[in-house]
Amino acid sequence: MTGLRLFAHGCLYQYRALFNWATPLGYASSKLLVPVFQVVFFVQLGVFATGGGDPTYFAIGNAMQVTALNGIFGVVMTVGNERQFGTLPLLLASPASRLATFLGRSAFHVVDGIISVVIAFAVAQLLFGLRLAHADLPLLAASVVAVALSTCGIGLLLGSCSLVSRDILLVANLVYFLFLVVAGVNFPVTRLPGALQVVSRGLPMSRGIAAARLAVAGAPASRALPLLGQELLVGAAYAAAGYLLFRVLEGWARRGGLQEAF
Amino acid sequence: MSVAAVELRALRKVYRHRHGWGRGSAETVALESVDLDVPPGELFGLLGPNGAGKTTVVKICTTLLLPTAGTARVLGEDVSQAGRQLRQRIGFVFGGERGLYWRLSGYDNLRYFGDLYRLPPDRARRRIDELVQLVGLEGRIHDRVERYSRGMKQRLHLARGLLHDPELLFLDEPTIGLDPVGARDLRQLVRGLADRGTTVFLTTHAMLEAEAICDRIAVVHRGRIIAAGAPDVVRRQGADLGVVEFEAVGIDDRLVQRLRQLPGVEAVQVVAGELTHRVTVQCPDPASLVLQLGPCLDGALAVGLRVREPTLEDAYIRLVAEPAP
Repeated sequence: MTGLRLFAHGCLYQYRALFNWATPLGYASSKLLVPVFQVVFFVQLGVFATGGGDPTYFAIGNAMQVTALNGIFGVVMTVGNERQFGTLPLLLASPASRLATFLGRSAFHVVDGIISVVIAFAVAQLLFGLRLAHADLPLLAASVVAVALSTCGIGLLLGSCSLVSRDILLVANLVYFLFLVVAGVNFPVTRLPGALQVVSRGLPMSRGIAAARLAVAGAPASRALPLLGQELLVGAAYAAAGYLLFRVLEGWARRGGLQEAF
Repeated sequence: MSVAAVELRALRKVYRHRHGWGRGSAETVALESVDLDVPPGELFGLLGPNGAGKTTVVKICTTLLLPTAGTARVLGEDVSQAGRQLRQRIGFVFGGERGLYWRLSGYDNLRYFGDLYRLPPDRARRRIDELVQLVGLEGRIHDRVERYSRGMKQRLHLARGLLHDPELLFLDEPTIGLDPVGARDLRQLVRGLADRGTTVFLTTHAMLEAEAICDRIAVVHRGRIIAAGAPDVVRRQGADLGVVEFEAVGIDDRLVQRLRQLPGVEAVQVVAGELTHRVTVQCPDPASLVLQLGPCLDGALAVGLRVREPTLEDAYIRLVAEPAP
């Protein structure tokens, strides 16, 4: 229990200490303005492009995708700022569990990402009449949690890369927009060219969004649960790769004295 | 027989740098065959100019760096193999303002590092209260670190390093950038820690600091230990010399070079002041040197000339002025 408490405590401090948007204005804009504008923009575009099609398809996809703001940018900043603040050597020379510290970087972003999705769904309901009357809400909630977790997985991998690269936010931007294209946010994955479908299968989010659409439509859970299982597996694979990279870089830094260069 | 707090044997560290794509790489030898013993309870000072290898020694001892060759044992454990157990027993403070979470308060920084060192919450709270008093941050500890002065940040660093009550504390140039009063307070704090039984391994290039508080010192230069012992012993390495010191106006590199070429001159140090330069010349026969100064200075004005015994700083300057073996 003490271990769990220490973990939760550490997660909170890391979030407050390392996350760049932890000012009221920055937080409010990331929580409200970005989700609202993203949902409004893509729903309007989608409706216009399809000649007055169903806005809820675009609303669900984009509402789910805003979790990547936390999962990718939030986690990348949280890991990468350790380098900027010069605290990485202190962390590496401490007896703290590397795995707990590493995973702790994403814990509050999972929660924060879920809040972003809830706000985006509320916007979709208010502005575009998204109806959840027939939705399987627990399944929808599970889909949101799965996507929040899996995007944090890829965020942890990019975060580890940010320990050795100053330009990782460029890659994070690329991945964020790649999700818009290949993750079934605005159009079905099956409409993508074959190569992009392969990319989509290798990234988190598409299965979670598909499960969320099924949940909103009230489809049986048996159709959505396998998708959620796969979504979590993909996210876990990215998180594991991120952790391995983190440990490799730690060993590399010990041999080469690169903690300050990080 | 007690285990040495720090035991370095034939320690060598080579850094490899890449120049860039297709431009090859180069090596820098930071440490070359360093042997050193620090017994428990000692306040030990490692002195040396910038780039001498002091920080490399500290990084190896605190498990942040692996040696290229040789062994480093800290509290009886080989640092190359050591893990959590050793890290829990040592503390370290690097000089400068980085290494703190500026958006958190000083208190929250200490709570977070308490978590990293797995301190139970009650113990962490008690310990933080003690340390805040010890380092004199009462009244400001709940302010964000970004509002701290440099001296306050340095004191917070020290509190962080002491949070888990380490048996051995490494301080890498802890007074760098502090004003004289802040530096004196910090030295008193560190001396107090050593008096209460904590082994302290301090690096500095401030001789006054080393002379004032260290039980024993070693001088590292170009990666090698070139002198070691009690401050008095090291100081006496320059006892065969005398020191001529004066304030000069209008002195330039050419004149300094001429001073260095005078017969018997072992070392020349020039410290720039606001209006004058303080020139210190070490030689075996100061009286004879004084006679030669007039023609040598070639019109430059020299005032306040005096001859005195060498200090530790003079011995240090002489040591590091000599070519490394």
